[in-house]
Amino acid sequence: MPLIDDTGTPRDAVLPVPVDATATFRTVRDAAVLALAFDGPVDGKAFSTAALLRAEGYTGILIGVGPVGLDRLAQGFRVGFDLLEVSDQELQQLQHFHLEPFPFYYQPSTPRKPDLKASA
Amino acid sequence: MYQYNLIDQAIVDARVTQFAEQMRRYLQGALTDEQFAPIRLQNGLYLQRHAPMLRVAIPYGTLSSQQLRKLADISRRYDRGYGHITTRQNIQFNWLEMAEVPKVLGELAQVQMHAIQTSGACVRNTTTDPLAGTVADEAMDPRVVCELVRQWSTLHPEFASLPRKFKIAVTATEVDRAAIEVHDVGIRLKKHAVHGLAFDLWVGGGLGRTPVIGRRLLADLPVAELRNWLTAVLRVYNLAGRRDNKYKARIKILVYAMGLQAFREQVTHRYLSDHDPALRIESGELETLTQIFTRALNPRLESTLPTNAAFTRWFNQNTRPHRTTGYRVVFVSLKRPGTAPGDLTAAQMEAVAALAEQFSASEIRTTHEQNLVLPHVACSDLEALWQALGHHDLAHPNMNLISDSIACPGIDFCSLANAPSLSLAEAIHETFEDLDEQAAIGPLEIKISGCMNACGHHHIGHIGILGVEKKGEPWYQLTIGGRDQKGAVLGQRLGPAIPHDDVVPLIRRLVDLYLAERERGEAFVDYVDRCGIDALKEFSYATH
Repeated sequence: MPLIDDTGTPRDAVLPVPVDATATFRTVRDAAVLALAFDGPVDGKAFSTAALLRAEGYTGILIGVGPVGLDRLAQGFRVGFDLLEVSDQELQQLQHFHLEPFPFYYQPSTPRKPDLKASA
Repeated sequence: MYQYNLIDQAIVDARVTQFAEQMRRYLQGALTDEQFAPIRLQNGLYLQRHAPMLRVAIPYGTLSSQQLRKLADISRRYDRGYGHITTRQNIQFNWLEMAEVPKVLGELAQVQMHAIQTSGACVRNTTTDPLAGTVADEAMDPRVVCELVRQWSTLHPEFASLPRKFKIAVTATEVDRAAIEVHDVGIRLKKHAVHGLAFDLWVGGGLGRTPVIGRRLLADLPVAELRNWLTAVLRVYNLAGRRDNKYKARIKILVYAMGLQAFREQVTHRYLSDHDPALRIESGELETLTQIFTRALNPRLESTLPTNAAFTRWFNQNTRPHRTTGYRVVFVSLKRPGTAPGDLTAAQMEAVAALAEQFSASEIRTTHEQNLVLPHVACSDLEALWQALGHHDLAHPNMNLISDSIACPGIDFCSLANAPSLSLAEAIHETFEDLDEQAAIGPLEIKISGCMNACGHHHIGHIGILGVEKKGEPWYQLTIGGRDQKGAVLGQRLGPAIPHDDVVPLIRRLVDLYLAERERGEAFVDYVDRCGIDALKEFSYATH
């Protein structure tokens, strides 16, 4: 089942972004797949949560769900998301953007694992 | 000066290419205004009252002659032949064509400049002391740390979508010329017996509609751990900062809501649990950058200076001591009658670029007071420089005097403003045009904002002026006694708002009162402290 509905809204199964990533990690450390909701296309809270979960040692598949925002695709992968699930409409626009527009970054310790899929 | 390496250049070039494609798709209608807004903002592009405005970054306020010439060229070919120095030490062009902005960014990249993160909810240009590298008492050149922060924060994947904009300032001297206490994060560098170099971390300061003096969060931290501590602060803010109300979204609101101690505990927890060895600043990195920023000057014999009154006035008012014998730091005033504070024409930019090449090792600084600095001028060259600056209307001897006011663009340009700012700055100039009187008044900083966003820093003006709207008309709220040095203080409200035409006459009366009642050597702001707000309020409104 897609994690996102036809309007681009994350379904209930997706975790809202927690403030305390350390506590969340204790709960989800053995989960094979974890989905985090983006609250909006300019909301960066999920980016810190993803980075912290990776820093804590979460090794499962991390999925970002919802409106990622056009300029943030590569950033999402760099903070540790494996996969971003967006609306079909946003996917059409994102396909025109390069996944890795920059040849270098100043933050070498952030992970980079790009992949992108549509919800449908 | 810092020169881009291949990585710096590749990142800036890639950003230009990326933005050009985004702009093309926007102009074709493939992106909506709403989708394009966060993209353009993080590339410094605003839609202002009359035209798009591009804010170009000048990292830590340091420019080369080559870069200033390019800015002049851009202003002439793409704008209306002038630029505006901002209170974050950047430069703005107010009359660009939207479709030409990618070309402008491409040309900026050729001289190692960009507009990345000069707007938007991200870490902005880090500001510092415009006298960095010239003063004897600094713990280190603060631009070294600014450059490290620039690299760390540029396109940081985690901190590109913060609750709100995030401003960092760095100082390395006891006298704080970077106003660190009114920034989201302030860094005070100092020498330390154990760490060699250490810093105090200030947090939660800011102006805007909720002005707050920042508080010292932690002290005596080793500089090597700066990036880890900044990461910890930004993480706490990114995770817990409010996003439901943009007026409550700055870190100062979070610090207030959590309480300083709780905020400190969260930051410390994040630092300890998330510590990343890759973020540690190794001594070799610091040394390399320090060498890059160090300007080796050969001491010179002190020269005999001209004794004519005009030169002496300019020398006393617009130059400062340099740590190398035989040199002075020269301030170039951008506050002249008939010109908006911080504005300079293409011809003036080219003139300053040439004079910097001739007299100041090709280096120019921008200041948050919206002036320029030529940081390394031999005393023997001062007279020639003064004369050359005078030919370009750039030798106005008014640093820190009443006509050296800061003003935002106000309603003349800004789509957020409620009231004009520039016309007040002009009226102040006209009222206090007598240089002898300005010198007699002494240091008096007037700062003017056209709205609550406080881009003119009115809260920390000795006299602050805030534009407000009253029944569709611009009115002004005055504050008094603010300052950003020797312990920042927010100005106190003088009384109810007054109409535009009453503002300068009231300032005139306050200045006259000060001149009549001051004690020997007492500066205006000290006089305000001694008098107290109640007495000044009564004086101001009793006869109004």
